[in-house]
Amino acid sequence: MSLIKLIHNELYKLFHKKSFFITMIIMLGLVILINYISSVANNYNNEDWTLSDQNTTYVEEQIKSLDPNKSTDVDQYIEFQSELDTINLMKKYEADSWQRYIVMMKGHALYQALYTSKYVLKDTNAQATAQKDIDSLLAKLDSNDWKSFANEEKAEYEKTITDTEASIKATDDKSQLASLNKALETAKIGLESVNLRIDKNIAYGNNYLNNALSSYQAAKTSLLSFDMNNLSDTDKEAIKTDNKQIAESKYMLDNNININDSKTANMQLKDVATNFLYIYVIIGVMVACSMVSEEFNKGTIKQLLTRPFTRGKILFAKYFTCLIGLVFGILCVIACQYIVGGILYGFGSYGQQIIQYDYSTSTLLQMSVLKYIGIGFLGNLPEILLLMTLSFTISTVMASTPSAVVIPILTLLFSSLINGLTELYQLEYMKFFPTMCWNLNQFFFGNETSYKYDSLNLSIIMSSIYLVCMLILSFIYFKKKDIKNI
Amino acid sequence: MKEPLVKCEHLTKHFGKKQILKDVSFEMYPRDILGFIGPNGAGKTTTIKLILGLQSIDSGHVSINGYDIKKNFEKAISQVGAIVESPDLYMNLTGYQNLKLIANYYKNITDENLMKIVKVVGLENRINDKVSKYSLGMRQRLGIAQALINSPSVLILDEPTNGLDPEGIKELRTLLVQLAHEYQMAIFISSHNLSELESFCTKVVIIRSGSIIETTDIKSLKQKHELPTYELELSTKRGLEDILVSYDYEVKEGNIIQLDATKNDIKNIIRMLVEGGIDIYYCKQVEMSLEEAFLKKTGGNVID
Repeated sequence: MSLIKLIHNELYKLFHKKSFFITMIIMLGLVILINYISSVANNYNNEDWTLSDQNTTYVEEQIKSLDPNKSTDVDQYIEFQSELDTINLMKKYEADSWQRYIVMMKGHALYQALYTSKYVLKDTNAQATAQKDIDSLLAKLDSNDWKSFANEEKAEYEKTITDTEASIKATDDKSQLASLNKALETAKIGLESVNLRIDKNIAYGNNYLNNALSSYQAAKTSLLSFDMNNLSDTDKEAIKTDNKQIAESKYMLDNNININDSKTANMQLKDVATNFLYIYVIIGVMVACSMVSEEFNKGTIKQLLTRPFTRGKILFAKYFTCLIGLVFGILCVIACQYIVGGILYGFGSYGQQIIQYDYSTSTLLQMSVLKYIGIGFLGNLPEILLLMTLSFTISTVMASTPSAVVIPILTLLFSSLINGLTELYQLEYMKFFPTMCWNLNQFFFGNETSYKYDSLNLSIIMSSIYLVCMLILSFIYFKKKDIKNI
Repeated sequence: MKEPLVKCEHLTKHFGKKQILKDVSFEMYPRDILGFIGPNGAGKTTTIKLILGLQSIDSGHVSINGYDIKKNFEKAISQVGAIVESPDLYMNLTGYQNLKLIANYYKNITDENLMKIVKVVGLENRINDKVSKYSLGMRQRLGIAQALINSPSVLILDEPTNGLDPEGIKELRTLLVQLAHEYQMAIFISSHNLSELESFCTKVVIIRSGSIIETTDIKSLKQKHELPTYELELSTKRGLEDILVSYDYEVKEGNIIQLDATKNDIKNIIRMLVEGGIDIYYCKQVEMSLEEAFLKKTGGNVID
């Protein structure tokens, strides 16, 4: 009962502090700003740059300054002229059309062949062949049939497979055999992905399905390059990433859903725990830093300590109030992200399931965004709590608000440096250091940290020990402290 | 004899090697108004902090209402209202919000009770202003109000007259006397100014360099100086020395003299003067001030 009264009063004081509200407003302003910047940055597109007037003008100027009949200029001339022709051809077709994509992929090489035969080889036959290739491409582009390109691609892979299989049968050389086998597998993967394209009816282009298809193919091909009997740590890390990429791409292709679309409010909201970690720490520190020291500095501690409560209860109420203040701050940030994300990207995406790859089972997990956010906060909890408690302890022991702000914030800023050095020099004893064990997110979803000495249990135990030690220090000190004369 | 409300026994306190308090003992009963007098740095505030449990006690005991302040802090302190050093208030809150916060710590304190206390200290017009806009005197009044919120049986005030104007001091005196009489409170007031307290204190404890040098009732302090003092205005001083050969007297301004004498003596002195040809305009017994009495007793200045 008496604790409730104390906590009620501490909350009353906290919510009547100007500094608390100023901090909250600044932090929420930051959330809005970060969202705005990322929404602007997301719109930047590579294709836009290639087709921009700036780039076109640049290419045209280069061509004017070069003479194809000079042997020193000719290579560069061919390069720029091919680029200009490609650009002009791309512009003929609508943005996001499959034609534009095909031109981007094939145009440059065809034009290069044309200009090389014209200026370097000076061979009219070759020039005519090159021109014919270009004309046939143009004809196919205008026929509005992207599948003919896919079938062409398919035929090429099939031919490679038959050829390679024949070569494998013909050779006895072991080293050659290995590289032929690899080439065979690569071609098979290519065939698989072009078949997927035809089956799923995915026109060429730059959308998420095309990206999924190419990243599926790339990751599968990348896996071939590892020697499974002799893996280094970086190899293992790369294999993990490849497997994740394969599972995610396959899911997207099968379900026709873009799970990595960062341009939805839901996807922006899901990482609210990790993206704004610094903001939560700052809120926690701002709440805790003056909790005890201000009462000492303003003398109000005397009237507080002459009330019928033990000092232990008073300090407990203060710590508990810090926790409530922190939770309040976090909820404000989440609400702010919810609203800002909704305004920038539309509220429609909220409620969609989050797809998360589980490294230990190599499967995809489906969960609600709330659960995902909860797990994220659970992972960041030790870091936020330890830094807030550090601030609280300094505030209690040193009775100095500035130190209680500066020391935890500096710890936060230098933590990544300390962790980086630890990994660089492989310092095993550093696994007990708080900055090494206060982030649990690195262990979730079957993930293994790159720093091999860490483990989830060790991290939880060490974080708890640090937390309890700081609290014990605060309580002992607060109970024994003589309230000095001013 | 009743149990004392406040009992301090042999309090000692060190800061490092420096001894701040040496063997400080005193008791307070209901209706006592105790003036705790001493120069700056004598240990007045430290004594108050030991009583309130704000500092640890090196040796000795404090009990309030029979509860030991160390062992039974919550019960001991619940009957105490206090101002230590200066009124400790939250400047960013209004006077009312400050009082409301403190009222939350106790049971059954209604808004009516609060407003009654506000009226008692005369802050009703400014109670909804922020404390940062208060004058020192108004803060002192609010400090007294916060000390009274829990209807304490012991009131401890550290230099409460600081910042109060003469009118305010007068009101405070009236209030304290009223509290002591109506609510049977024991009131502890520290001050470096004896004359400020003498008109209403019932007990005086004088502390100097951490030691108590005098504990006494006001009445007995004055009585300890056995002979009453008389003041006479004479028509002339001529021949006075010859008439009052066997008495010590002090010549004041004009033809006024003062002397210490018994009732019987003064009767004789008057007759001798009249017979010696010196007329007397008046003769009255003079009430000695606490400070004068004390100065006479110790033969020195209290405030050094």
